[in-house]
Amino acid sequence: MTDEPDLVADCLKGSETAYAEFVCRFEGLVFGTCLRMLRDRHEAEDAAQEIFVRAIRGLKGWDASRPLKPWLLTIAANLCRTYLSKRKRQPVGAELPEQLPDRRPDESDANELQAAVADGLAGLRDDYRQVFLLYHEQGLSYEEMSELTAKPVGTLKTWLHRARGQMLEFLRARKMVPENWDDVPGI
Amino acid sequence: MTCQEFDERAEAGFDELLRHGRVDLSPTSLEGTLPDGLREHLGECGKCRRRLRSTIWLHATVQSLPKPIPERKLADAVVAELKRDRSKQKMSAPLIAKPIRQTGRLPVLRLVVALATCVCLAIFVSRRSANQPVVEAPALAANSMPADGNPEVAPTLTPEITPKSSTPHSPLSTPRSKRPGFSPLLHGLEMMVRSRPVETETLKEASKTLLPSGFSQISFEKKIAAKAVEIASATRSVGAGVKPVTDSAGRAFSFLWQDLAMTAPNPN
Repeated sequence: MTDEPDLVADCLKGSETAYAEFVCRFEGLVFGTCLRMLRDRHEAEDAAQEIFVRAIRGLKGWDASRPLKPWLLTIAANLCRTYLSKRKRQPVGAELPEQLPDRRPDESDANELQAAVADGLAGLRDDYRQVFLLYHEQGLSYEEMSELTAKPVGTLKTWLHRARGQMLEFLRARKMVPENWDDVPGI
Repeated sequence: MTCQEFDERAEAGFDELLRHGRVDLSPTSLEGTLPDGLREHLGECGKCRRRLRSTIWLHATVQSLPKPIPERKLADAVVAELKRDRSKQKMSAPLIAKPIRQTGRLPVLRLVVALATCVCLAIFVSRRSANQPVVEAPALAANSMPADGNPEVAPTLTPEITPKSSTPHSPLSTPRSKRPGFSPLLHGLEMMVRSRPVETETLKEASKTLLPSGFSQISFEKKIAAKAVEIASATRSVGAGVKPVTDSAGRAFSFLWQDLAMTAPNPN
């Protein structure tokens, strides 16, 4: 597999193969973030496509000394926020995609716990959900998230703490959480 | 160690694990990474133990979520869009480079504006000059001599200019000198008559001094007198609008007498 700087260099040369490889490498990351944030598969696909196009167009401005993943996630987060704000401005009447959580049988119903987690994420506030997913799913640190969201670390910690609390409460109500944490093996 | 200190350190350790290791954060692996101090506090404080375990459990659950895969082939769509972008750039580049589109419109626009301005200006000037009446000599009040009768003091003249607004559509007046039948001879005579009362004696004196010898004085006097009366009556009807002639002006018009004598009919 090509290194990130080489891949970026090839993309800057205009190689279509490099474009395709770039998309394939970060497809899961970008589309997963979009789907969790937007909770609409078609919208998430549109957003992911737009994110990749923007990212490849803007590769000239990428700092090669920094990892590509947070940079790409920054574009994704910004675009998802734009999509969400557009959705809020839509006239009320038609059922919003937010009210229709993505319930694909191959993802949700395969595991009851995973479905419950997906539903719990859908019920979180946008800011909380974004921070929760960036931290626990994408594995970004507080500093990286702070750069990405342009929020102070303290705010992100608060949001993450509240998101965790709401998720646990949601899962506890569905009896998905272990009754006694001492029974959880390993600790 | 307090619960708050534990919380801060555990959070920092968790974050550090995420940052560097991206390791498998299952509870068993995490247990091994905890420092001794934290592990002791976990043994003592059930609240911190539950919180840490719930966080690790939540993290592991989220990590276990299946990675969604888009139905659409994103790579193909992105490559196609980028290719379209490049072809658009190639198409638009020569058009932008054409100088005629960039520089062709502005001079034409400027020229049109300048021409329109000139036309408007010309129309404005022509209309203004057409509406402007010919300046006529202002009507002056009748010559009023001062009460003491001192001839050295200039008479007070009061211009009586009719305001334009009162007669906006008054017919244009033609200067007197351009009116048909204007005679400078008669005009000078009229001026003299208006400047002083014309008397027969004066006219007789004038005829004696000015008329050539052998000229029939009686008939000429009569003619002169009749003409003077006619002129005086005509000028009276004109009103007080003509500037009176002073003595110096009368002297200046003395050549008219000579002219009159020359043009007078010969009685012989």
